[in-house]
Amino acid sequence: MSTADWIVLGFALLAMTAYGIWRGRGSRSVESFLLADRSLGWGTVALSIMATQASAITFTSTPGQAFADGMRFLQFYFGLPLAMVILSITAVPKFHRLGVYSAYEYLEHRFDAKMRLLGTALFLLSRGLATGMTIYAPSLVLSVMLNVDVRITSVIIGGIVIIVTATGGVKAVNHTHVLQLSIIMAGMLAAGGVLLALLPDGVSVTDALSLAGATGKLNTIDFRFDLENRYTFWSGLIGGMFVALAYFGTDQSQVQRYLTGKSIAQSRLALLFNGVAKVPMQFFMLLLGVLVYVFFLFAEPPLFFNPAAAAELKATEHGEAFEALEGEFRQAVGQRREAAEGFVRARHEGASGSLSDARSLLVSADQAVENLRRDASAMIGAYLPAADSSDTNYIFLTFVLTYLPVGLIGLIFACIFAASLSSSSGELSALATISIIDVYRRFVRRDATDRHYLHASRLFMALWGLYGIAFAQYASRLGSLIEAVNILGSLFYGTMLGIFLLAFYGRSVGGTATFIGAIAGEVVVVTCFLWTPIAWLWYNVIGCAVVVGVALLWTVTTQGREPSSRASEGRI
Amino acid sequence: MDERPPRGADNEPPPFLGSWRNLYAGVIILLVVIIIGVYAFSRFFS
Repeated sequence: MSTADWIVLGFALLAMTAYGIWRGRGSRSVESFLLADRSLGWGTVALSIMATQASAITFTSTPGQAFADGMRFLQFYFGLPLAMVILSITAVPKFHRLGVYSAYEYLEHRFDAKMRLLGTALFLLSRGLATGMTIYAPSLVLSVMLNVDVRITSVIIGGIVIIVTATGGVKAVNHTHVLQLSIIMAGMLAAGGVLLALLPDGVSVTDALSLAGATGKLNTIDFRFDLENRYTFWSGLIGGMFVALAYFGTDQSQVQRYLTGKSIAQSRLALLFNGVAKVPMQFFMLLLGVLVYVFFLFAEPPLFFNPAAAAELKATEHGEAFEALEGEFRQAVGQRREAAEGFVRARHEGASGSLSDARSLLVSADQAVENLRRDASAMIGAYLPAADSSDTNYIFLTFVLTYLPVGLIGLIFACIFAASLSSSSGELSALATISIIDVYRRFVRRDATDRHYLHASRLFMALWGLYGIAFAQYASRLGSLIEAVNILGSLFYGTMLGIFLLAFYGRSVGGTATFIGAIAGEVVVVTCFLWTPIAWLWYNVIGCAVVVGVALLWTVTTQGREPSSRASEGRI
Repeated sequence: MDERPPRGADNEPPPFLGSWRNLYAGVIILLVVIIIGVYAFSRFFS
């Protein structure tokens, strides 16, 4: 990166830190620090919701995923708007009316202390482990691309997050999210504009999209019903809706965002805006990846986009084989370029016969390139067990570093840092809130002053941040454990959703029945994960259904022996 | 903990489309339009 890019990046990081400190000043009570006095308008809350869910990896891997796999990932988001409508009707008014700080505090109102403890434990386990990854994953990608030690990038990300969250609390977090999302959107729009400008002479936008269509990259919707296929219309609509219900309805990192809304209406509008904006935003991100793919039909891509892994493999005894593969790849890429040019010429001439031939040529040339990329990935996986054999996180950034103009490179890297900071700060503030409200204030120190809890909240914010940084320092030594950590976190959502569905609608179901249902749900989800080929999007549906089914069954068989809910709960 | 008086009553109307029911319907209709648009887009270029 040039000096100008470093200046742009440094200025953006300083601006985000200073803006967060400035907007977060004046937090003098726990409610102010953890919920921004429930005073924010829907615009700020909506952008904060979007910024929290958009991690740095989202912005590096989404275009990369479209490059490698086309746009079918878009279907994952089709259920999200439906979930936003459901949560606006159910969760938002219930949480607001009780004035809770956390989603799990609600569980004690509705059931009992053990359900609150279960919800808190599941959240701290899953989100606590994930927050280390939220800092580590982008730190690793940025360290490779910027050629800086991963410990430095993780300290920068973690350090800024600690400064902003521990000084200004959630008000600082939410307002900084607005700035961060603005930087992200500006950077991505600029990258899209430059991509279009970089298309070769004689290749129009419609030519580019036709090239992408011919090679199957615009495979947006698949109506087949297939439980083993990760992304179909039905898994996105049903499974995606359940994921979104669980994430936005039971995960404190999102619940906390809309609890800061100044009224039920403002929180609802924020969720609905997210529902309306998310699918088009993801469409644009994926289209960016498709355009990067089209760009590389005419330019020479590397065989493997992670430069550090490729260099490491070349330094081993298998380096020669990898270099031979690179030679074959260069040839295949040349043949694909000729096929792409032939396809564009045939399109312009308009003869359907020659266009069909040109398409067949292009598809087979593209397949040859993809096969070689798969071989390279397999080599990396086989000979470098500690390295990630997927290079999707590096595709977009490789394009940025190699082809974008000076200044814009700094802006794009600022985007990646901004996305990392926004998701980390959202998670950190949620973890601190749960630690203080659902653990410390509930079970450790019940009668301290508001000032005491305020100081404790700041301390918990800092401690969770330090934990995230420490995790990132040692994560590279964890090897395959990292993947296990990631998977573990994704196995609790269905159970949590089942618990909250019973809390909202299962008026006759009590805490013990829900507790037993939750244990059964978790056992079934883990069983599905370990011993079935069912795609993970369906785990949430299955887990939720088992929790509800078992709890209802338990309630029916033990009717009259367990109170259905707390006395106050009948009115909720 | 007692219920707090709601800061925004349930019947506070949304700033657009007149009622929450209409707004929810609007979000779902927009989703359908987006899905049809995306499908048409990919069919056109495939």
